[in-house]
Amino acid sequence: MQSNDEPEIGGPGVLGVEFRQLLEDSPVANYLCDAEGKLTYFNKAAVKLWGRTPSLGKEYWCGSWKIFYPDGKPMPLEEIPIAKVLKKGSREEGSEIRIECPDGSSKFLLVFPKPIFAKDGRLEGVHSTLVDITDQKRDHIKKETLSAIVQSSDDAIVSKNLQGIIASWNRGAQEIFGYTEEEVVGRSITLLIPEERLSEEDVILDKIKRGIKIDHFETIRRHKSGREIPVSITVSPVKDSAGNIVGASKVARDITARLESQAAMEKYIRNLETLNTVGKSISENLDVQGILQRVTDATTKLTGAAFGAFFYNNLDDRGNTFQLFTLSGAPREIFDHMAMPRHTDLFLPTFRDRKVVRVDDITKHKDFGKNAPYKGMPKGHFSVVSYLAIPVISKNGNVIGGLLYGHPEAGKFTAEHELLVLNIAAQAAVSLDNSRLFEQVKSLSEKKDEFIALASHELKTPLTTIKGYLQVLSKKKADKISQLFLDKSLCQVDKLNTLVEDLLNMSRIESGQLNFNLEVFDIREMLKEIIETFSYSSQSHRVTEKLWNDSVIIEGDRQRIEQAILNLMTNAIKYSPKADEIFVELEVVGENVVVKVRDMGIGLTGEQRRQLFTRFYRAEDTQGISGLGLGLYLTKQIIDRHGGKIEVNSEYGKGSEFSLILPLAVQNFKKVNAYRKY
Amino acid sequence: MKEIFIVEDDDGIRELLEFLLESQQYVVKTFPTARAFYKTVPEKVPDLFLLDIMLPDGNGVDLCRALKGSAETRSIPVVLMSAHADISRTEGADDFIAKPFDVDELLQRIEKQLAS
Repeated sequence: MQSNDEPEIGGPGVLGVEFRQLLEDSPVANYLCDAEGKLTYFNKAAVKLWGRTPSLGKEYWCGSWKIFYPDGKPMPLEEIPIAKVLKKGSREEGSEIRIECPDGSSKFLLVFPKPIFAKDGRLEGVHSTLVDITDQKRDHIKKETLSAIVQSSDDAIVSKNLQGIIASWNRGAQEIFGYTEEEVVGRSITLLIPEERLSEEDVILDKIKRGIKIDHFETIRRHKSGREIPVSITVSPVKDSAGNIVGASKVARDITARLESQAAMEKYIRNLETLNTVGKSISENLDVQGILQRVTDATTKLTGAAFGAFFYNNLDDRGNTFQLFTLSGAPREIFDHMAMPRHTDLFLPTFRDRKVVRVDDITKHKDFGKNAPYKGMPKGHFSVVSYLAIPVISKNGNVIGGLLYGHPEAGKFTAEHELLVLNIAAQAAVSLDNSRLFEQVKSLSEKKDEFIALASHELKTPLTTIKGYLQVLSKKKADKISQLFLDKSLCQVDKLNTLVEDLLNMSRIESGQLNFNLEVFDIREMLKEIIETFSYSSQSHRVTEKLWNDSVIIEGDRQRIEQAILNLMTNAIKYSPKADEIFVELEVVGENVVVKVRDMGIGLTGEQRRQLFTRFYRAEDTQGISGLGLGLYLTKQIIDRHGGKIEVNSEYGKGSEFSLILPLAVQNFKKVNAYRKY
Repeated sequence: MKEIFIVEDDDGIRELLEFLLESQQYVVKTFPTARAFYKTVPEKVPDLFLLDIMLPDGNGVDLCRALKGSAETRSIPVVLMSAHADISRTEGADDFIAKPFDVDELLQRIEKQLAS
């Protein structure tokens, strides 16, 4: 730096003192370098800009702390604009640099270096002006970023003024609506709105003017081609820096895909519900006709067929291979004249090969109409163009039959329909199998009952005769031996009769046919009679009794309860062949009557106790003890049906005690006396 | 002498009954079927009817109903017989006995019905 007041090189002095002050006070940063690049002068604005005060005469090129390219790369010294100017000796137009200040802040500057020449043309130095464009730069970057965002969005982002004139249009808008930016900017937004919805724009503008945002409004707009597009739009007011609403920005999203998937979901749910309902009613039903009709109706509806039918895979007596069983959507008379599906290529795949057949247009199928006398479908009523056939396959792999559907329009049946019907067909097949089994079982069961009823009747007939004559003989005073033999024979006849009765009763109980004759009677009286008869007839055992000391009134089938008690007592004797006594007790416990029959016989093991009341059960070591094993089973059934209980307490080798528990009759004594039977 | 009509399809039982009742001094007429029975009744009527329920061409209960519904036979006692103990005291019959019956019991019941 030349340190004098009379500058010879192009210093401020050249300009004159006024200009020097002007420069000093200028808000724009200015500085000077000599021919070597040393800083010779800088103004206040430069200091402010640099954030530091350089040392004059010591620093070169620029007062900034650090210099970078605008993209952030450090700038090498020779690239600094002033250096370049000095080197080249010519102006460099406004180049952009980035500087960093000591406090860490960075700024973007435009540099305008200008070479200063002496009168003799010698380069004396550089005058540089710096303009701080940091804010503009930032704004610019922001704008570019925003612009990129708007442009890259798949949604339509459109701005309009308060008259609805389009001001901006992004790439997303072009994709969705089909118009380019040029075609649309400056035109009214109503271009996109279908006629019937034009009033929406008034509502929207009105809200915007009042500062209200419209959020996710679902509506329809129009593509350039005229096609309608379902969209969801959000419109927000745009304000200027003063806060006045100057327009609106609108984001629109094409929701066609969403609506479609929603519709598909709803349809799927509906189908599931139908499947579920149909499935339930199919599985609840055991009647074949009902099942098939329901299946035919439901599937005809689901597929949208004009008619549907189920054909059994049977041979009827006319030799037709398939037999129409249920029909939906058309009156049966039509089918009487119509072709039963024959062995044609069309139907065979379904009935023989278990294939699903779906034909969009059956009139184009090679086999159509060739089978006389059924040429084509019956005239007059409807025609079949779309065709769908689904086999109904039993669990063991047999084709039970086929579900066939028809529609007069082509291409009505889809892969989805196939799936739905297959699903229902599978359930129906299970149901049909069950139904057949059930029918078979029921039929067998009925046959069994019929047989037992018949057999028992037949068996009793000769017994009647045998018993009759034996009794007659018994009355004629014969010798002791003959009398003994007659008695034994009569005993056996009674035994046989009991066996037959047991068999019949068991069958009746199973099929729920056993009827009780209910009476109110005194069970103590009954027991007394039974014990007396028993004591008289039993040769081997005596009966020790312990009876309640008052009348005990119950309600029940007298004969059957008597049977039950007799059965227990007979067993007690039977299963204690080595003892000579059995015990019978009667007591009242709470609201119940308890009859106990105890023996000191062979007793029961835990296993035997568990199985005791099942049908046909006989304890293993009962060789030589006869019977069918039905007695206890029947006894239990009878007592259970009276609302009572039968229990056994037993120890193997020591004996058994059977308890018969029955509810007391809920009657007061007066009434009871009136009902008493003697 | 009291007369008894018996309807019973089984030969064995029919013979037994004939023997039993005749031994008690009753006059007995037997019919194997309902049809045979209707050929005679109601032109001829007895003092008591003894009817089997299961018949090849009919049902003792129906016979009983018909007899009780007809003026000529209404007052004549009817005793029903059956192998099935359940069908008891039905349809207006005066008494009922189960097969195989006890001979004494049968005779007692018949006697009781004839006495009333």
